[in-house]
Amino acid sequence: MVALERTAAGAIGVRHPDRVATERRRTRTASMLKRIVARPALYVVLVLWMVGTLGPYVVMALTSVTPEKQLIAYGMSRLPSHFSVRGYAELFSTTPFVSYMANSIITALSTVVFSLIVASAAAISLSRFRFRGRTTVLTTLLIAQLFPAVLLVIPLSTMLQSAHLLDSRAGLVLVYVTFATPFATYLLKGFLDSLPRELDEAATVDGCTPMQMVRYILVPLLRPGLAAAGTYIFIFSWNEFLYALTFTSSTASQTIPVGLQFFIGDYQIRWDLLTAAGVIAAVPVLVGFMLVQRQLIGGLSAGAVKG
Amino acid sequence: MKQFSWRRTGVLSVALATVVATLAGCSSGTSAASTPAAQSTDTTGQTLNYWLWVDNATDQTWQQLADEFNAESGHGKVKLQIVPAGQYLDKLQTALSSGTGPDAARMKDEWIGSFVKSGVLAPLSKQIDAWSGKSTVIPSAWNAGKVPGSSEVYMMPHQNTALYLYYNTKLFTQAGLTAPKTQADVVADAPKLTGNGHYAFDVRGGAGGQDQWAAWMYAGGAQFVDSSGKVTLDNSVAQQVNAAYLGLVKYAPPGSATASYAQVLSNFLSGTTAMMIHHVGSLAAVRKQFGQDVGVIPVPSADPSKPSTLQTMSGNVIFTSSKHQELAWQWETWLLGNAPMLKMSTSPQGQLPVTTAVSQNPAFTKDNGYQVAITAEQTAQSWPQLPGTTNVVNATWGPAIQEAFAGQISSGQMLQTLSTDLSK
Amino acid sequence: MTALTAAPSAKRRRRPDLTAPLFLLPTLLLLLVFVAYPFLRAIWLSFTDTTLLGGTLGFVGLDNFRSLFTDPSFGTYLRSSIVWMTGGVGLQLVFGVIGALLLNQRFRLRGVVRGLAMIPWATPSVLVALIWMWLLDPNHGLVNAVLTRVGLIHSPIAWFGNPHSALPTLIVVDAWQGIPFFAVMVLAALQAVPEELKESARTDGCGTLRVFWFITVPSILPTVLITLVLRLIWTANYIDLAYVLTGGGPGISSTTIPLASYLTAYKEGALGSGASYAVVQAAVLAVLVAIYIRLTRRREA
Repeated sequence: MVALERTAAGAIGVRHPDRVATERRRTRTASMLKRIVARPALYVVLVLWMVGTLGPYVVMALTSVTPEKQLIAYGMSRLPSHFSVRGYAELFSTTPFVSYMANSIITALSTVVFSLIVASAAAISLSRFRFRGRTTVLTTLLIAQLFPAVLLVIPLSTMLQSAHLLDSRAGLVLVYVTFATPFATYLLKGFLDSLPRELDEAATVDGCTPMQMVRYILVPLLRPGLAAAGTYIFIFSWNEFLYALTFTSSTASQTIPVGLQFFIGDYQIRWDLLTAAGVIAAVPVLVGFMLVQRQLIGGLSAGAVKG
Repeated sequence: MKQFSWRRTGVLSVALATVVATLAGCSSGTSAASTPAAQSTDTTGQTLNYWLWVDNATDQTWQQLADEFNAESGHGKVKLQIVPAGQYLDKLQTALSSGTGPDAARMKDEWIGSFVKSGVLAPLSKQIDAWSGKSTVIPSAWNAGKVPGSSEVYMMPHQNTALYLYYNTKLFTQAGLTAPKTQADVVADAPKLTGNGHYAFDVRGGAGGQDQWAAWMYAGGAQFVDSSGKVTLDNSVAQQVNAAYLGLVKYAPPGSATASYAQVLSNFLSGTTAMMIHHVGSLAAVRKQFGQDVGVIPVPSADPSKPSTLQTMSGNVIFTSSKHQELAWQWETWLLGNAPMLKMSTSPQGQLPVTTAVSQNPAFTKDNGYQVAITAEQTAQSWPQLPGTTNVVNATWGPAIQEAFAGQISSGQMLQTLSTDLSK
Repeated sequence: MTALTAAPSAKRRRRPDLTAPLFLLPTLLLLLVFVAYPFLRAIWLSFTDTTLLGGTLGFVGLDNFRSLFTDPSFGTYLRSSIVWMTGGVGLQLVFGVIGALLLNQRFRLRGVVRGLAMIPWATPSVLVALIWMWLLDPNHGLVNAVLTRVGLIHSPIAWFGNPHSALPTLIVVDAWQGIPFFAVMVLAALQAVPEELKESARTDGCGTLRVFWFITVPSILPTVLITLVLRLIWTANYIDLAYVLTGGGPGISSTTIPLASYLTAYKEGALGSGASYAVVQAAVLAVLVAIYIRLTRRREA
């Protein structure tokens, strides 16, 4: 394995680490001055961004701990006079929110796994091979996204019904994989295209089969791409509403976006439950992405050397 | 690299797609056409798939009723499937047209016109006439299940609402006013109630606003359809009443022309507006906020001796595609029994009972809001159950009145548009 | 790991390489099963007067399209669609790229900031809509209160209640929700920018802007382009925010083509006519797809 990695790294022209370091040192002194000015500016912009991004979330969080009486009169718009965790208590004790959450996590994670496998395979095929009909496939992938989902749910319902996949997480996952894969494929194909072909050739010279090349060279180098595609697929499945609403009917398969709708009645809107659920629903994504974002580090060379 | 023929695969794909399409196509579409088979009255062992929406996610009343029904012997069991209120109509229609619909379902009177036209609802008059409990139901409640021009009943009544007017007594006293009796009073009082961040009334041009508008129109003496089922919403009386309503936008808080229930309720409860047209569905929230500092009166009419308002009925229907129509009938009539009716109507999401006995229960005489509503019920009218009503109520009323509020179209043009859409 | 070093057999070399089609098979199967039929059906429906509940009534040829193009409102729908699509995606692109460049810097707590930046994207649309409904509420909302306090406006603005501000406000909410998506995609693409190239450009005396334009941009362009094309398509079809926040109003000022399609199919019950709106929009978007394919083909050639 070691020999192969060296060849791969060598093939794309990574210079000796020491030399890179010397060059960096030279430019670093020059940009030091610039950084002293740029640093505070960077933090100011970041803080502004975080305020804009988190402001509405903070309002939601405050609403979730506001006593119900104040919510009836003012909706999500006032500072609470005192904090109340009744919304959270009710959410967990009287609604099946835990099931919604579990269904969402299981469905989204399954979709990520299956869609990444399917999309990686397709991306490798489209990036590394030239064959007749390739452009047709590339076009088809985009065409598949053209219609609004409202027009597709009726025939999809019928099909899932005849496959006995209605009201099941499996049925949802199948549909989600179908609709998440085109973008994931394109995204991964883009990353593969940016990896030089010399890499494959070096591997072939070393006697790799195509399968081995994929397993030991392409996948490791694709990590930033896989992280981005995985994040997209996860959040797509996490937020998807129309298919989830139409294809599920019991707490055994209903996901969070469907569950939230139950808190909005004709004459009663449970702001306390809605916002408490919203605050909690953001946590898995937040934590998940904080873990995944570690893959969004370092350039191509670092990935190739580390393997 | 060896080339792979995509042309051949293409041909194969099309063939496969056709097969899939044919298979999938066959299983749908038949639902609407099938006729109820002769059924025995013994439904033991059957399970009824019943769809409903609930108004409060934490309220267990419906499930408790189903459990009580299922604990009885002599009939089958009911399985509840709760659908979010906001998407109920969409999901029900999708399910029916893809052949995955329920046996029976909760339904609103304003929707049944298009369902009856499509032939998916089982006619119920014959069974109702033969039913011993028929006389326990308030006679006018049956009208909610009929379509104009026919006496056939397609929906069993269950929970009714009749719209009335709330007014903030403190704001009225401050302005030196007493409760309005006529629509002319409302129009005259509106400027006096507006100012210093206070406003008279939310005209609610957004979702759901058509109900308070229709209550105003009926109270003003407008007729939506005549006895033959012809739409008469664009006549001169209707135009006058509508013009008065449109004029109130000047005394409405900002955003009122597109406001929906959440904003309207919040504005009234926070004292931003002085009046609100709604029904017992908001009574608990209003009492929690104001206690007795709020007045509940009938919707002011043009002529106080001829009161009217809108009533909206939620009832229960049976689908022609169902194999358990007898069990559906047993469940829907069971819900009209004394104990279940009282339990539902007094629950956190309860509305007005539709049986005479229960509406005389002390639970509905304690709060005068209920008395006002029950009195109003006697002269209230429903949305006409025309095939076009669903479209008007859910889609075209909003844009039409919003354009009228903005002065882009006249009162007459607005009613013209709605008449055309109702007759579609 | 002996398999790696073993010489590939001569026999395998000559066998037709099925790797490419084999790898594509799962994707194509999924598309064939779950997309082909619903698509063909939607197109077929647009030539019929099928109702939502009543099944198929009959073939009406181009009637649906004729009444669609003669509908005086269609011009408004089309204009709203174009403004909505380009406005929303444009803001997402600009701020998404800026955001990605920021998140690619080294600073303390970067992992946490990256996670927090995801929140708008990870919040279900119905909640996004309801939060903004209250924030922008003219009578009790925070935004109007702050703007009035600061003195920027004299009386509260009904952001969604005015035909001139409804669609732009929707676009801002959409951008708020969608910027993190663009930021993550671009951030990932930035990881593939060859660091040595940037370094050598810098040693050659290139400024930050020039390095960005000549090294970074070409390298992230493929990702940006495909993200842009698909985001345009998704945004064009995205009706959740408008449905909750304005219902397409006031009047029809914020009704886009897919919202009109939904209302026609589900509220009027005219499924065939509703489908024709979607088909027209799909045809317009297909032009976008064609341009993209042509562009990338030239690049790949």
